[in-house]
Amino acid sequence: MREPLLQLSDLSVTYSGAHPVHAIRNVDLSIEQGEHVAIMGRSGSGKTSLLSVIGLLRTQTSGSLRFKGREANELSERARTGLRAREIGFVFQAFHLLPERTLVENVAMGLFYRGVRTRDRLSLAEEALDAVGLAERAEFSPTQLSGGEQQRGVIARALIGEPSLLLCDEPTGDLDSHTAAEVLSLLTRQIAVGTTVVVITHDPLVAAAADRTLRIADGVLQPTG
Amino acid sequence: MAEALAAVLARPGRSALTALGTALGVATLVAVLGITQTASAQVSQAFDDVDLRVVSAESTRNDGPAIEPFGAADIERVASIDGVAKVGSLTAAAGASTPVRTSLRAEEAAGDGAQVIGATPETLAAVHGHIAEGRAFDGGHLQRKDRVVILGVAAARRMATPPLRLQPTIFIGDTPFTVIGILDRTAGFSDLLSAAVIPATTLTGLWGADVIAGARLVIETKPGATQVVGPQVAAAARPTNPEAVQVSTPPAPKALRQAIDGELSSLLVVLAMVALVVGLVGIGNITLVSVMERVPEFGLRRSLGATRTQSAIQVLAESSLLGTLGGIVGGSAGVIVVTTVALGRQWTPTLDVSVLPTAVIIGGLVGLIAGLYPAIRASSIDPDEALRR
Repeated sequence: MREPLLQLSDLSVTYSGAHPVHAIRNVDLSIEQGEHVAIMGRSGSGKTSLLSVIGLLRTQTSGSLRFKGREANELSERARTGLRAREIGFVFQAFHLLPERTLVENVAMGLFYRGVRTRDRLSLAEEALDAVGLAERAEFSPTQLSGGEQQRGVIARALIGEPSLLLCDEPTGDLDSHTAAEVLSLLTRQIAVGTTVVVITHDPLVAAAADRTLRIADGVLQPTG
Repeated sequence: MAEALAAVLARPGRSALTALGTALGVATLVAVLGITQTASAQVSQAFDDVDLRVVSAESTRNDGPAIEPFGAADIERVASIDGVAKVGSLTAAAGASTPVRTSLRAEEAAGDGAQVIGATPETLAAVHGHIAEGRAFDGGHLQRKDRVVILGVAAARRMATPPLRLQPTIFIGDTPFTVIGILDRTAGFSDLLSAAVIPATTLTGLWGADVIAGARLVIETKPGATQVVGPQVAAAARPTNPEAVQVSTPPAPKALRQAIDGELSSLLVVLAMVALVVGLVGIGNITLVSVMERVPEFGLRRSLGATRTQSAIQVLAESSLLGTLGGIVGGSAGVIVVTTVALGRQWTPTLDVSVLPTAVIIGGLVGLIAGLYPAIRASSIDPDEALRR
């Protein structure tokens, strides 16, 4: 039997402080390679915290997270960073494109940390931009792009390293319906090539495109079918 | 380094301002260093000036009642000492035997007279005598024992000597002498400025050796040779009786020069430290602000695979790059300041050739040190928190 890409067991995340916040409570979740999972929930329900843990950006307070069969808590920080660089792509709601760099430089940035040479980085970034229909915008500053173009640029940046897991936080959140459909089309295309996609969304259309939709409330995950 | 360079170029205004802090510090350092070196060179040049390169040797009365003047053979032997540039003799006549007057008639005589000194053309050259008016005497005057006189400027003023174009005459004893020149400056022989200087041969020819009250050799040495020449003069001037010669050697400038150089060096160190600290604090402060402003960027880089070390290295590379840039600009500006100041004071600009590359290296090091704390801060940025901003 093939091991799932992600296996969360009794996983909890608590933010310490004067008033500790239990962001994730005893989550059990298994996500297979190539699966498309949508996670829905209200603001403050723990969606983004769950995405951060799955993306190895933070460690859980308790419980277990296995990524490709490796226990994340037992990995060194360098190993976790390496996994992020090679295996995980992020699509942030806030884009996080650097305005002082061109779009192609933004897209190429992740490859720098994988040791790819400058010329190859830019060449691959141009290909990635071409794949999302932004080849002509390569030398533009992100500030010169529309919201939809920026989001497609972010998807190109996430996919350039051919990750096995794509994590998307509200990828259509600030987009009009037409642009949202374009972005959704890009994600669907990626699923077709075997990439596992986990999407946090409020958008029912995005959730409907997923194999599975999970609901999270007060840090507790509830399968909805 | 490529990412650091791209980051620096991406914010040219901020980068320029950040580098400016280091540039000012390095410029101050180079300027202080250059001006100090230039001033030091001037001091050194002054030390090597003729005032401190003249040895005098006086004939003393230790073996008889009369003072023996220095002859041509004595002068020749002294001139053959290694390090000697010029040698001349001064022979002073006793005042009572050779009164100096403007007129033989007592009621018309002006001034209080002057010391009569016999000299050679070489003497005037050795003491760097400057003739303000008229001319100095030459070998012909000596050979012919001409009755010509060069008056020291103080003596001429005291005796109210008419302008030289009127060919004024003064009397030494009862003998008329034509005034051919006015001596207004010497290198350390101020007694000549109030004297009547005549050819040495004229002095001994007219009055004989009996009137001689003092005899001196004036020896100009080559730069740096004074302390070597001094001890050899007595034996060379009077081989059979060196005790009869009292030699005066100017103090060795080395110790004084070292003391002054030491003072300048201390001043330099203090000013350089202040300049560097100013640059370091400036670049460190702006780099830290930059890191704090770019927290989401560093969070993004961490999410894309940057390690903590890579984040720190990027900050250090950026600050070192800016420091190096500041070093280049500041070093160049410092050289311009040194040159401008030196030319303004008509000094020769003196700056060690290693100063400019050292300034660039110092700029880079200042940037590196200044970037240490911001680099630690950058490396400790939590990507999860940073991306939520």
